[in-house]
Amino acid sequence: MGTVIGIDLGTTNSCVAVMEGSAPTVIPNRGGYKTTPSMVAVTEAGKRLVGHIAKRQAITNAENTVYAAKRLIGRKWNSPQIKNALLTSSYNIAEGPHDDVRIVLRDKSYSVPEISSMILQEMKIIAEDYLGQPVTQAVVTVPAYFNDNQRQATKDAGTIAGLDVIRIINEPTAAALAYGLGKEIDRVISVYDLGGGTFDISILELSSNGVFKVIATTGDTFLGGEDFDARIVDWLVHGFQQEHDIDLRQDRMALQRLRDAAEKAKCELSSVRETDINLPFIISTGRNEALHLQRTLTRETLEGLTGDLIDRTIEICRDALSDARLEPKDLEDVILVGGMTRMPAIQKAVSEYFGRTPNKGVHPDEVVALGAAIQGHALVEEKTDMILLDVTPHALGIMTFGSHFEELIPQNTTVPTSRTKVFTTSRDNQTAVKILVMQGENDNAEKNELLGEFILTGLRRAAKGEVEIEVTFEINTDGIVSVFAKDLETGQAQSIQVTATSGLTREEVDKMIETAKDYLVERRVDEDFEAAKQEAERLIAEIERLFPEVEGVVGASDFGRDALGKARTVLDHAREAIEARGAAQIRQHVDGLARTQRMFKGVVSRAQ
Amino acid sequence: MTPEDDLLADVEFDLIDESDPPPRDVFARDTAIPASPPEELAAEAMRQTETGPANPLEGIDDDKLPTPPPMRARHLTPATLEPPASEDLEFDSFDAPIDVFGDPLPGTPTLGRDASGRSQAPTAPPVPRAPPPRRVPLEVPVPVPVADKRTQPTRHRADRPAFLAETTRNRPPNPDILAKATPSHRQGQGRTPALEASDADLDSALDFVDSLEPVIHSVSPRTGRDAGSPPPSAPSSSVRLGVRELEECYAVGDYSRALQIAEQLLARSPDDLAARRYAQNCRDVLTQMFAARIGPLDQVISVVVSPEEVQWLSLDHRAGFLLSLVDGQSTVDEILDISGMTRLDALKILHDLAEQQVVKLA
Repeated sequence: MGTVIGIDLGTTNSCVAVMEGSAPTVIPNRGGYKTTPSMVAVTEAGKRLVGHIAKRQAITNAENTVYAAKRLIGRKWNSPQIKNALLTSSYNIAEGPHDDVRIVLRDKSYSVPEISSMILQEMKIIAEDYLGQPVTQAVVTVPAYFNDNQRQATKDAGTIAGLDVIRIINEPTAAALAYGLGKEIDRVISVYDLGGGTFDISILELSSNGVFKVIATTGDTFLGGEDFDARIVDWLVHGFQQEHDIDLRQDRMALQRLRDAAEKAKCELSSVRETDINLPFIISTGRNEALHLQRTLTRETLEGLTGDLIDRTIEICRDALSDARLEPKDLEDVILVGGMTRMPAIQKAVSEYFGRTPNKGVHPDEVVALGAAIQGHALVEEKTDMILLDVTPHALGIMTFGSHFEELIPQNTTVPTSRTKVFTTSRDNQTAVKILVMQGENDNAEKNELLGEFILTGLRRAAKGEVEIEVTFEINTDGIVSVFAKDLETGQAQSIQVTATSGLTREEVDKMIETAKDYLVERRVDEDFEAAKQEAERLIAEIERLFPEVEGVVGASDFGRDALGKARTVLDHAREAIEARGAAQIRQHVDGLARTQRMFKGVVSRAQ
Repeated sequence: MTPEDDLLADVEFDLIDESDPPPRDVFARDTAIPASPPEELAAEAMRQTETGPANPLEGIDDDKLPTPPPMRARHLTPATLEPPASEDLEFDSFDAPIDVFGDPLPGTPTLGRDASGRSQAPTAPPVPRAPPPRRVPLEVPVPVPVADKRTQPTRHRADRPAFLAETTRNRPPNPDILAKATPSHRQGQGRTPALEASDADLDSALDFVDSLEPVIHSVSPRTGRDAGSPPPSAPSSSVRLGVRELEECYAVGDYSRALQIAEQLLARSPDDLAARRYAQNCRDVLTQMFAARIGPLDQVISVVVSPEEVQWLSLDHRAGFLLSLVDGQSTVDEILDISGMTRLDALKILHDLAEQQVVKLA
């Protein structure tokens, strides 16, 4: 059994972790960062950029940089979230062939799971580079409010990236696992998750039997660290405008630098009381001079600028507790998740509201990925005490008269499961009923997600309420929902099978898998070349350094000149191989270079 | 056994498979001008041995040679005096500066020629030249103001220390020239007499440019005229001058200037295919040139001056932006990818930063 990685696929940042021995470890990327921005871009030359490098050009190449794809994943084209995204996104969003969403980058259309797969593939590569072995299995986390389609789309993204997603778990659940909560103790906790782009508050009921019930979850998908950055940017822009009468927002390069500097300053202010923001040559005046921006931002100023944002998160916490019919004092633990929770003002506000010091023993940026890694390890090692049970993320039911939602399978029910309920006709002489299968918790059916519909016909003509129809919901171990409707009098029956869909067909997913594989091969070839080239160049530089000395020692004799000539040829051949960009060719010459280097070292050491 | 033999006793000499081709002469370098074939060189050597060195003026009728200008008496300099600095002897041109269309630049005194045909231009540069390029002495601390540093404007380019003296090729385009090249209706100003050309003239003028590739017969979207058919009227002299200068610059390899002129011509006539081709060719060549000067694009690039020193450099906001992207981990290629600029612009700026020793390529 291979290693299973845990991936926190975040809206703004992603993180990957793995179990090493008995402890979970976050894997740093090549830049040494433990989180990777969930951004994908395509350059003018058609090159794909993922992670930090994509983020660094996000404003100067805004229309070809995808951020926060998680807000779009698994959504239908007509959903309000997509309508909102159409208004706010800098990249082009288009309608897909299956009522899904596509993102257009440099005239090429990508599905949202495909974009997410690029991020997951990056996380896979980071893990493979660290572990030195291929990784094929993963546990991926999603927000607790994700419906089946969004979960399926996330799974498809994993499949396209070459990962077998063995389990999708809720982010607050993963955070609780990382803290070791739920082991032998039943308790109610809250998870305050303020990330880069979203805020979620979840109330969980942990039980030692492996069911982590999400009692309530709510949040704001447009409230996060970026809003805090934006306030700093506003402050900087305003100050600069007052001083120079120049609006820095009009210049993309200036704006990119302001955003980067604002984020850096915000992070620094979590540990220091003030920080300098220094952006030389931020803008040219058009009079052959460029202006510098230099300001000092204090923690107090930042708190003043962002106080309302913090208050908003507390308001949302109040709503969540109200939904769960709990008081802050009923909670036995508060867990902080997300980089923003390192801000002292946020910690203070959370402490004050919940009346207890939040649990912050685990790094808030990493806690979700660590929990996912723990769960992945438990699944492959079959550690039953640690395995979470698969539960329905949302309630399932049908729409009844007056757009009322009638729940058949409650939220957090462990699967497989089956529930039956009897309904009657709502009109006189009604001969057919339409069964609308829905998912959600709202009493108003229209506010829940429609999964499918079918019509049961041939009912006996009778007064309303006389004809009885039995509706059965069944969820099998694969999460497939089957709904049966049966006329109890005539025995006439009709059914539908609802499978969560990401908006992609099997064929599309298969094609995307192949494309992703090709990309991976291409990338590995490039990396292989780079590694070989670096090794060869190191040896060449060393030989060149020793050459004059060796020439001085042995160059006088024919014998030595012959040796030096041969060494020169080895160097030339290696350089030609580097020029030809062939990793295999370079490797062929690395042995010769290594021998030449040894020989030169030997000559030099004996001469001394 | 000699000491040398002892040193080589354990040396491995089987570095090259004997079946390999014979080692190339590593000192051989490709030259821009192909050498004459050896047999021709040998024949020439034999001929010279027999007849003496060839007279370069042989066959030229002395009577037909132009009369050289009268020699001016040379002012002899005592040997004890220091020779003039080489920079004092460098002149770009003794003629008055003109724009791409042959018109004198605004504010430039018109210099005629005297009766003998000699230019009345001064025999020394009219203004003191910028000091020669010098490296930034990193060990010498750059002055940092103690006073309020907030949002200080950079000093004017001329007032700042010249880390990289401007040369003809890297000199930014003269705003006056650009202004002249911009159609007057875009500037909202009256037209310069030199630019009093009809639209038809503008369309036809640059048909003369095309010496790179065969003329493409296309219908101009503005006039509907076949580009290959005779122009309705002759191009203005200023445009012809611009075209000629473009051709000359291109021919002598001054691609920066050629690109500048081509862009000015395109600003006047955006449909001009020849100018567009020239511009594209120049961009391609310049991109390759700067890439070659920078070296492998997979080198990691890092800033080697302190943040305090950076603000005293002579940079514009684009260079400042590129510099902000240099993090000591990204390669040149990655910086180019994320710069949001054209490859040529980004390469040129990085090259200039490297020249000024602001960044270092590892």
